Amino acid sequence: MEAWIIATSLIAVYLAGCLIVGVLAGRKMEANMDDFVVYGRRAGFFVLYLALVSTYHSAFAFLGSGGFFYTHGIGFWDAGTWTLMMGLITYVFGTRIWALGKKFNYLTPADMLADYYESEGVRVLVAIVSVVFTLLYIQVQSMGLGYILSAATGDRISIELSAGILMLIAMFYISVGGVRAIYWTDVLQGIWMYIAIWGGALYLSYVLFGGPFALWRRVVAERPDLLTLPGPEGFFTYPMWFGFMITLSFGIVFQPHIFMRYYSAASISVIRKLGALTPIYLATLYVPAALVGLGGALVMPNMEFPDRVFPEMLFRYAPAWMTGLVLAGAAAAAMSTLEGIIHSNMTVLTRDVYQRYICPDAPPAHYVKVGRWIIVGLIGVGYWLSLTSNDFLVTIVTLSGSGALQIWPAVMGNLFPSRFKFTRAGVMAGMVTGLVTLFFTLIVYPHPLTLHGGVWATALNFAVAIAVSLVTPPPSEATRKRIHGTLEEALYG
Amino acid sequence: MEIPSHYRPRTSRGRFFIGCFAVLFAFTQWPFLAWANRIEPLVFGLPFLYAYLSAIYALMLVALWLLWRWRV
Repeated sequence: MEAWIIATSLIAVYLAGCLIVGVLAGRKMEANMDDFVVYGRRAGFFVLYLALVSTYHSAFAFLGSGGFFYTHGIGFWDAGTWTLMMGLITYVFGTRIWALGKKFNYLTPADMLADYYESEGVRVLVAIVSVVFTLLYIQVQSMGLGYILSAATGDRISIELSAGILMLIAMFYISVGGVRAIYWTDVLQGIWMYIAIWGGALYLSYVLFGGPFALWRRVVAERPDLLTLPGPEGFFTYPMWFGFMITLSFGIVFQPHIFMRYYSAASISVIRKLGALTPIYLATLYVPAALVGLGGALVMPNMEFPDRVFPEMLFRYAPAWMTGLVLAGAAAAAMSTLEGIIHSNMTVLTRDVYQRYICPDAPPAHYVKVGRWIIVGLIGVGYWLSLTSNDFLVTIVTLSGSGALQIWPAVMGNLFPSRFKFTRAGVMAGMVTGLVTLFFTLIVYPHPLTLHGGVWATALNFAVAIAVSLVTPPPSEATRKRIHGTLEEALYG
Repeated sequence: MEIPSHYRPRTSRGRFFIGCFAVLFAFTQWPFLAWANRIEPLVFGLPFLYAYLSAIYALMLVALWLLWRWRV
């Protein structure tokens, strides 16, 4: 049997598994937004752990990271810093987000921030930031899915058609099962992708170099330019290293698909445990990615599309069954994030726009139905966007993280009681300043002084938010007492 | 009554953790990173920068584990 048939068949088996798990999980769903969106706030450690890590790690971790190691070398090991920061942020911010969500039934980031700042303007601005920038993320996953299936079939199916097929499958089980289907397929996907990337990378390193340590020795001897900063193309300067850490830790957490995971936990101890233990999974996934990228730079130099280094190496050097299993893992990485983003964007649009401004008093089942149609629309938009770009997956992700970073000052004022108080006018002025700055620091004059554009925007955002907050009134005392009192009680008894 | 600031840790363990994590984090950034930015000496066959960062990450994982176990 031809290799591409075996590889494609294994991906088909994986997709069938996702559909079965998704449909079965969806059968337990109740027709209300709480169950459709935040798992009835009953997610335990095991499910939420794998849901969080598989949502965090996407096509950019599985394919893009190999491409980055291939092109820029060891600089991408900065990933260890941002994944560890992710653990700390979960511990410190996640517990607070969970406590407020549980007490006040929040479903979206905008719910939480609009309540504290007593402002519909804040709600709208946060909802726009949430959706617009995560649409870029949908594009990343769609591109990744297209690469994977197209590569598995030996280019017999185009990238565009491949992306379309896999997005349709994801759309089906998200619509049917809501967040239950997403969490349980995430469990399957989280396990599969971890085994796949480790298995594939170790196999290639033994077959091609005699093992991981021998691979490292070859890189030292033949490509030392990949083993120090800023890398062969001068990309990973120290400021850029810092910028990647900020945009891929805080920037990802503030995106709704991660932020809303915290609402769904069964208890605060689940979140604390996640904070301590998720970095183990998140950081160690990049160890095999380094083997793939650096190994690929030795045996397959001058690739036109470095993001494809892993699939291309597998096709050239691994048996078909292994190629299929690993590519299914790559599909798992992309689909687990895609479904999380689609679902969270659906929630933002349904809750913060449709329910708030268009149809406020409909029965819960109506919003679930509308949400399903919004999912169809989002899949269509994401697919269309994916046809328009060939940039590095990781670069697009950092653009996306930069946008989400702009809600940071608002989140600080909401979650951290202190003598200084961020105000509604302050955080809105800061957000607008940050978004305008992003346009200049990411598009017009990218990354001034080699510091990531997202960091420039966030710094200016904070400066403006603080300055305006000093001269404008804070949220009412009753609201501050209600919300900060809840935090005080949840965290300190 | 004003709610006490949530920016400052309230226990000695909290202060210890913040100190540890801040130091470890600083080791992953410039200027420490500039010092570690070299290939030699190899550590168990790994380039120095990679081994240095891996060691710091391992210590940060331990710090996070302590944070959880101590319920800071």
